[in-house]
Amino acid sequence: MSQTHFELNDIHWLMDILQDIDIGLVVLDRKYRVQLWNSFMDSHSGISPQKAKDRDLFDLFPDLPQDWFRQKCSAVYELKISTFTIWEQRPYLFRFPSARPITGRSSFMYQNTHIIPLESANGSVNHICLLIYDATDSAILHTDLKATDKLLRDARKRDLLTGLLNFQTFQAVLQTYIQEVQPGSTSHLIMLDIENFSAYNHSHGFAAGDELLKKIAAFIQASTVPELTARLSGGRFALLMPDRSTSECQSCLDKIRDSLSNSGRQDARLSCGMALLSPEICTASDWLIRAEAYLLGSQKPDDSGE
Amino acid sequence: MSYACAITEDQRDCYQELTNVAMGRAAERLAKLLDTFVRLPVPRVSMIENSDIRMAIQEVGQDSSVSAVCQGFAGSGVVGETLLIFKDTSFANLADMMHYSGPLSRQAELELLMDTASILIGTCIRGIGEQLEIDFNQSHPVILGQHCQTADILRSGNSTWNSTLAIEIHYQLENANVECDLLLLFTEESVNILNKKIDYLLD
Amino acid sequence: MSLNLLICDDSGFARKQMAKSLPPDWKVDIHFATDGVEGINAIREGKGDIVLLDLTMPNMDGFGVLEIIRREDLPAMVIVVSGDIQPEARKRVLDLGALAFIEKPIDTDKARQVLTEYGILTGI
Repeated sequence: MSQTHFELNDIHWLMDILQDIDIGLVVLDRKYRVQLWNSFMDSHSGISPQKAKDRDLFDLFPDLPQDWFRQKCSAVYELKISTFTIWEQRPYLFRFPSARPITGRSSFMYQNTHIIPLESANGSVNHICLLIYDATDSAILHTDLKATDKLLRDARKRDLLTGLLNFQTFQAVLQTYIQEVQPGSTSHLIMLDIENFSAYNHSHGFAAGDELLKKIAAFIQASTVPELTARLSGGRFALLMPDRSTSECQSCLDKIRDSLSNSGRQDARLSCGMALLSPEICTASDWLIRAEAYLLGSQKPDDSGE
Repeated sequence: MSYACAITEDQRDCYQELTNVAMGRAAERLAKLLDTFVRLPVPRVSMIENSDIRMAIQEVGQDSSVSAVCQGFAGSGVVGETLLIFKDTSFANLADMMHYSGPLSRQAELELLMDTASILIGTCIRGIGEQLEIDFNQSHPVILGQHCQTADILRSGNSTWNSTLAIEIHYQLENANVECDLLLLFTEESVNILNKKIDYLLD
Repeated sequence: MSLNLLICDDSGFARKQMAKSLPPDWKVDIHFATDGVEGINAIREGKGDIVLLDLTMPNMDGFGVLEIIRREDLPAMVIVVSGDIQPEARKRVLDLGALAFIEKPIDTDKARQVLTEYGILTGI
């Protein structure tokens, strides 16, 4: 601390400032009994300085993470260093309601804390000072930023209309799967296509076409693992079916088709191609080409399909 | 505004010696906390151009994944920032030494990072301050990243400074795979103030 | 014949600090070395009846110097002057044969106290 000498008047001012400052100030003794409690602490906890005086902090706040807090404080006592904690470690030390309950978008106050050793005249540390900073705004901002960042990154991976993976992402998923799958596992790639989708768009309008795509995407997602489904282009979809037999895949397909016809869109039909992962398939394209061949085969009127 | 900012060989030597004393104090406290011996290196003192700071930090991590925390400090017109960069391979050993039980989650690593940062940064800054008769205030620490590449620690763009006085301390624990780098970075304006104080000591 | 005192530290600033901290009326010939290797050479040349030795130095650190002094049984009374104030560092240098340990930054009082305590500062 600096060696400045204060006049008596200044001390009164300082005391007023410490009382009114928008930072929590608590002084604790070695037994964690409260020695000082400023009005920030009073206002946010509802516990007056008179009530807090000499009380065990852990009695006043039974929810306080006791072991954690003691460990931080013991470093301050034993090593005579001040220590900092940030809301990323623990959102708060004291559960106080948010200082902006209406517009603040958090029900509680995020807190950063600073714990300072208070040396007595003989150089020993028998008291520590806790400074509590309201970090709600920066925490919310940080969380928002992270969410936006994730959204943006997700958006690049997905088809905007249906929310399924887009072609590029699905291709990468397939490639990784081919490289990492155990040999001998039974895995299928299903490709679905809305028959005469351009004609559907033409007669019902593009808005209705988009609605149909969204509906089918929802049925597809409901039928299997959503993270393994994609809209490849136009009216074409794909599903990766890890460790699923042909009949399991068939029943999944039936489910999608049933949902579609039950939704009152009897005029929309899905054709399908299904390709088993075999040793000759080395890349995502190999697998997609094979599934597409079966799909196109199934669309020929004289072919019963795979 | 541009500042003619350079340090002479004598000044560099003096910064190095002040750091020596300060890092020794920090090591003493870390050794006490972890019940181990900290191997002290010769600190590196140099002026670094803005364009070279990434390279300096990259040398620290040497392509391995790192976690980093930074903390600002200020006193008597001297302003700067400390960066503590941990090799992520250090955390398992560090957790053992600090008697952390349970799985080593990101959250547990964050606790370890913050605990060591409090000791190393606080003691070192105070140690240098005491020798120069500067009372440094520290701002709250900020996490720069966990499990990232050193290149990602400093985001590019809108940095307003040209060059900085950089003091680099490479801490290593004996018989444990724990390695971290403490970088003290002073702004150009600060270096002019510091140099005056240093010259006074050199007289 | 006056005593030879060797100050061994890689920092010029620290060497100056150490030289300044010595009692002004003490009649010794002061020599300097800038790392452990230079230090050992100077001791072998008889310039280090008393050595003020730093620990963290390039080329050879203070621990290395102490080891060689012990191995070769060189006639040097070593006082370690270091910022490495870990109890383990102090213990190690004393085990290696150092006479005393002075915490950096050194000053006149610290120096005089240790030199008197070990009876090095006589005849003043």
